[in-house]
Amino acid sequence: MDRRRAREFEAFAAGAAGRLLHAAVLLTGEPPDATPRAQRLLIAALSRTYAEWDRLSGADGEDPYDRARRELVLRFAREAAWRDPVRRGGRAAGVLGGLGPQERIVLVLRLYEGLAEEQTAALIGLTEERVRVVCARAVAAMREPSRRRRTRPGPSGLREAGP
Amino acid sequence: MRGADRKRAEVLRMMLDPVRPDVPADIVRRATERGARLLRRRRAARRVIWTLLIVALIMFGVWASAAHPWSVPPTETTPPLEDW
Repeated sequence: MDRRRAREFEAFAAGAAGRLLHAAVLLTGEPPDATPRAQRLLIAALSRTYAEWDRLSGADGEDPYDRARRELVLRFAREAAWRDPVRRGGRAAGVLGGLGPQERIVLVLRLYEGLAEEQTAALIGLTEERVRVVCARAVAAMREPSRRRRTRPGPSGLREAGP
Repeated sequence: MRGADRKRAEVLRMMLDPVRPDVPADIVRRATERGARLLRRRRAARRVIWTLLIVALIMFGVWASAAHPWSVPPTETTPPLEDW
């Protein structure tokens, strides 16, 4: 029983780890060659999935990938709420570095993971309207001032500057 | 709406642009180990709760069969003497 669970889980995790780690790195904004925080999030999410594997692999269980992704995103959101209620200015890096945690979450779920507005809203506990607004704002922020940000590093008030 | 889709596609390209982060070889093993630990701890906690519940039930049963809490205690006052 335990061995079968481990085998099934390892097959799943080997396939999902790459995509989940990429999503985690987009969330944490770490450089691709040094991703300790994203790895920690991934391990936590995957281990939780392992612990619930028997329920997940049942007929009416949640999809294991969805479960792991939900755990990853919610864990990141929880940490973000604790660590940077005000965005940590200089430390934010990576592609989505100029955005706040919530905007990063919405972009990762809507664009990278391709979730519908409704599912995104349900996952992070926002209204669909709010998801739409945050997504539009984040997309606008990514397209416009991000290019300028590259030339002028430092804690620029991307979020605050936008309309 | 077309414009919005195009903008989104552009942002998605920006997100996919950098090289994918390398997945450390041992990450699945570490997740499995931690998951197994988590599972063991959960099972132990569930076992403790069930054990406590069963012990409490048995103790109640023993006490109830000894004390008969459902039987009416004998009246402590003598009923008034009538029609004597």
